[in-house]
Amino acid sequence: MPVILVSSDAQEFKVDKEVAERSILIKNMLEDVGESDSPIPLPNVTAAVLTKVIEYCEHHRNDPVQVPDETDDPRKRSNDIEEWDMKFMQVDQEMLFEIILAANYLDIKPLLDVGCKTVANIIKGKTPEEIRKAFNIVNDFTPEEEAQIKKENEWAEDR
Amino acid sequence: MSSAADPLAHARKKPALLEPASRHLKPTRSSFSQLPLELAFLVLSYLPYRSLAALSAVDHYWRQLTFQQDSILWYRLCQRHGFLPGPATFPPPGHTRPRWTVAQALAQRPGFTRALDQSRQRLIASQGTAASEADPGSLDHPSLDSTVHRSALSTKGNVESWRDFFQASIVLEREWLGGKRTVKELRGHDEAVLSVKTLRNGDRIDSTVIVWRDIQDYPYLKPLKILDLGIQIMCMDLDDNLDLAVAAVSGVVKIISIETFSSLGTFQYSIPHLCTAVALSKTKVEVAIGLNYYAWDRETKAQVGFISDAHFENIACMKVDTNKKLLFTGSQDSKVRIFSWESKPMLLRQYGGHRGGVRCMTLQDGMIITGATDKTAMITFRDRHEAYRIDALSADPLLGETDSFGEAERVAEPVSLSHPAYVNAVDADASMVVTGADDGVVRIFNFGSDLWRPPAPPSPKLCGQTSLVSSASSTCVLMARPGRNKVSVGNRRQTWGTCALAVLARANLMLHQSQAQDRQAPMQTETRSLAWMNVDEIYKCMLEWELQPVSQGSTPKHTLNLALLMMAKSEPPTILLDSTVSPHRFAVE
Repeated sequence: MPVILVSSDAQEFKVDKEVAERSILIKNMLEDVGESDSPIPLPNVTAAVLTKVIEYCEHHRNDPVQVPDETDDPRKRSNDIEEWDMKFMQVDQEMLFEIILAANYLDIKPLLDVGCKTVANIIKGKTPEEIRKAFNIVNDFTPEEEAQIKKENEWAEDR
Repeated sequence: MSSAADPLAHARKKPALLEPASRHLKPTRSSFSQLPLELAFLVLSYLPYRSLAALSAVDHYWRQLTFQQDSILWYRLCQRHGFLPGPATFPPPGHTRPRWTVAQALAQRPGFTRALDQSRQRLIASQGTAASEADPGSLDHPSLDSTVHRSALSTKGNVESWRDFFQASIVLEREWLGGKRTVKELRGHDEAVLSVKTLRNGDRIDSTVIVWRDIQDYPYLKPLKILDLGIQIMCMDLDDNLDLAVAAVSGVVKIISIETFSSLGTFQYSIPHLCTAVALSKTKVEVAIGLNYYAWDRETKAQVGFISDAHFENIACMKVDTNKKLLFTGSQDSKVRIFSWESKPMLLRQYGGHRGGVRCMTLQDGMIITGATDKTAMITFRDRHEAYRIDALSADPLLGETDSFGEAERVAEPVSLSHPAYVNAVDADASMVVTGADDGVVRIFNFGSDLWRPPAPPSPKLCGQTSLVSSASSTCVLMARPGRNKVSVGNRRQTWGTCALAVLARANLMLHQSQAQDRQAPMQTETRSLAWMNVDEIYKCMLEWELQPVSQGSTPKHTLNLALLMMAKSEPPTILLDSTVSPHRFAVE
């Protein structure tokens, strides 16, 4: 039984229930409401982002539901993104952050993780200047502060 | 499904087309700095320490963020790197409540605390006037908020946050890995030193070394009590409760409490045989008899482990890591082997390196420190997460797979400490190795003397090669000059050398641009060619592009050549020198 999702800009998306329930938010909502044809409004997600999110959920529709485990997992590092997910995340930064926000709002933990890992991978191995460039951040330190911070961070630089 | 699915299919092909619409709708929300805090922390918890440090230098907002959640971000990193008591763990991203406070973690590593104190004293001594000058100056800046002030550890030397703790730990680790040490020799014995022990007490350094030659014969310490055990003693081990296990030539092991001097039990191997090594832990007594290994339970006295032919020659020393459940044996066959510490021990790994029999061994964090008859003590670094992986059985422990938080980890070479004589005894704590040798000298190798490094004079290096290229026209160069400690910014203090570099960089850029234009699709595999120029050509370009130092000194050609030569020598990877032709040609990479 398909579910109708409505984006913030009033576009309707018809998706399978199974796909929609990748989102814990929607899953809980459906459980609360019961069987209903009424569309689910998602006021925080635009159509463009929702399209991407649905694409992700479609691809991962058969994944086992992730059990939030407290056990330590050595494989949980930021470079262990699946190949498909990596391709999926090759979007411009704005979209990337929108996806993260949407995943957080919709409560899709795996997508949120992949998004955060992708951002972490952008930051990795970059100098402060390169990070500023990558994210369009303006350096608001005075030269004195910058020198002080540089000195303070020396230990992290030399190999 | 049809009408609703249409934009979906469209977007699959070209998601970029939809991007302007979303920008229009939400102009500000979706940039990195606008992420809600909890999400920002989630991103940060995936970062290695270098990136966190880099991020703290990006702007005030990110600096504040990396410092604010100290107990989450840096505590996690301490866990990951195994700097906390217990084995290294891999906490899941997000919130983890620290099990320890910084002070508690410090208390668990006594040698580390001592090294920190020493290092701080050195720092204070070296800074002296410099610090007192800097302090009021930095207070004058109203724009420096408290987060900028915080953690200027290099000038303070106190460990107050997990970041400080992490910094000191990683610097110490680096000193260990690099084998950077100061040596102190304690002379006085006139015979071979057979045993050394550091006390787990952080206050004193010189008195932390106790020398034991034999249990009945202390040459320098007044014996508290002399125990006549009636057996010929071969080897001893102490456990955490100060219970002493003494193994005899005849295969008898006696356990004595050092505090009460009462006997806690006797273990006997069925056939009288020479015990060559003994290890005592809370639950087990383990001995090596020749090539074999036996373990008994201390309570039930039942045999709980056996390895036949654990080495090719006699086992000379044994250690147990009860946290990680590993058994380490060192043998006269010069090898160290690691077994799983269980009833059916399994060989997990072997380390070589010595050219003579291993006589003694101690474990410290992720290191195995051995002394041998080849007159060296050797520090072998175990993979930080090896033990963890053995526990989890998630990977083959014999494979040297590195897991270092997504950063390529350097495989550390063993550090060799050479001695003039056989090394009979080693012990170590978090920051030093103590050895006793056949020449009667106790040596202390201190690795932690430099944890808070006094601000080093800036090494001659060119800062920001890329910014130099991009801003060549405005001649804005930030650079430290070789041989001098001054940093010149802007075009006021330009030298011939910096200008020449700007010319070379620009020439390189132009060369690449023209090459890229020549071939519409440049091949990836092709090696990049460099713009080689001699001094005449560089000077010509300087005039043409108006890239000259403000103060024109002596004959430019001479100055130029000298400056470039000097830089090429101090900066070989970035400035290249071709001395095969005359005049010499230069290029930048």
